[in-house]
Amino acid sequence: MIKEIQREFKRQLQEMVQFKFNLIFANFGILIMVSSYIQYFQGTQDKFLLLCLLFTWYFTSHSVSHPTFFIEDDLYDRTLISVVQSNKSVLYVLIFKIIVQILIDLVKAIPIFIVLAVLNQIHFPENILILLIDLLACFITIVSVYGFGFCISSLCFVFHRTSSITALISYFMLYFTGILAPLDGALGYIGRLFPYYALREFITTPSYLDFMWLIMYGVIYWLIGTILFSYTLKIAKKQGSLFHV
Amino acid sequence: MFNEMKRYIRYKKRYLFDNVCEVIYSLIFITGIIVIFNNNTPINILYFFLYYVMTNTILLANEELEYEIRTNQYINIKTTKTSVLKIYLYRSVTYLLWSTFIFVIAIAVALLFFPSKFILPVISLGNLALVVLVNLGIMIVLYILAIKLTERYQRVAVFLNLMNTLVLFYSGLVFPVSFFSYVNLLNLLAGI
Repeated sequence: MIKEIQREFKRQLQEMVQFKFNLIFANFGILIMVSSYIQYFQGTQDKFLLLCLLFTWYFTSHSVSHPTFFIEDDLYDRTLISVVQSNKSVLYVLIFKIIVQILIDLVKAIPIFIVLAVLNQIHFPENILILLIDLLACFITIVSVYGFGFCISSLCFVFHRTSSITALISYFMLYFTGILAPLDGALGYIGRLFPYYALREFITTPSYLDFMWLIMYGVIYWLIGTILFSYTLKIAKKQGSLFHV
Repeated sequence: MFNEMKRYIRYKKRYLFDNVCEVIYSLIFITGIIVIFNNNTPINILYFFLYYVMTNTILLANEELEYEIRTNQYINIKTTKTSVLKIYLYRSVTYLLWSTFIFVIAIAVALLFFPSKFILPVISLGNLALVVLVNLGIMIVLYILAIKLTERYQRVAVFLNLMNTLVLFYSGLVFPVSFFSYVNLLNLLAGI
């Protein structure tokens, strides 16, 4: 699997270089957006907390959409049936692509967020262990939300066009799930369906309970995702809808 | 122009699910901005409206033109008697009305739940007309520029989104800025 990941990672990096201007403009846009939000909220929130939450959002906006794109593209190109007939399961191929996507996002995110930290004069925690634990919590959140994306991608087998809703979920997460500002009332309760409030609380005051909550979110999303994926794939195979006719 | 509106409405009905998702996406964006705004500095609804309508009109035109270029429909419209620019200027009215419609729905929703988060500035009719005319003029210039850029380079959506981000955060129309910006000029015209 490591060799396959290396091969796919190299291919995606080469593809990134092909679209370098798009990449530069997109990353510049992210830089401006994150920097502006940090500056706007600096009076009311800790800059390091915001940086971590927006860093997590950068990855999780892909977590929600990319699994759906992978399945939809394979369905549309009729290559999914080849995967089903191969000795590797669709689940294996999807998880493999998710791992490569996380690595690609890391390559793109690290320079942007280093520049952001310097430009906005972010005060990192003095204790390096706390910084590493906070980063670990961010990655657990990212992996959890990939589970959520996995749930949505499994709907592609039945509905075929689910990519339209992933973009709006991504924006919904940015504004309504406690990333930029914690919300009260009904919006607060809806926002707690996502792990960002738990991540916010963990970074502010680390506790084992919040860490366990982050892991629980991941377990629940991935469990529901796996069950839904197997069930909808079975339905698609019975209906013969894997050929996208 | 009315044929373009009919064509647009038929297109929206044809791809109903995708377009409903697009409307919800815009609603989430507009209400999201309102939701995160500080109660101490409420958002100026007039300026937010100007920002959204101007940028969304340009982005919709760019999206449609890029799609037509990708699917070779651009060759067809280029060979008609009406120039591509003229067609897109007619379409701009449709995009403007569509963006206004989405904004009004979003504000109606936001008004129900977050009435304290935004203000409507007190402004005379004459000053309002002046502000609208100036913004319309600027929008037409930027719109034509965007169309020409798209015709020349064919894929400029990412660049236009970057410009949109810059306008959102640094024009002063939505988020407050500490330096002299476009909004200060508008305030002079509006007499605010």
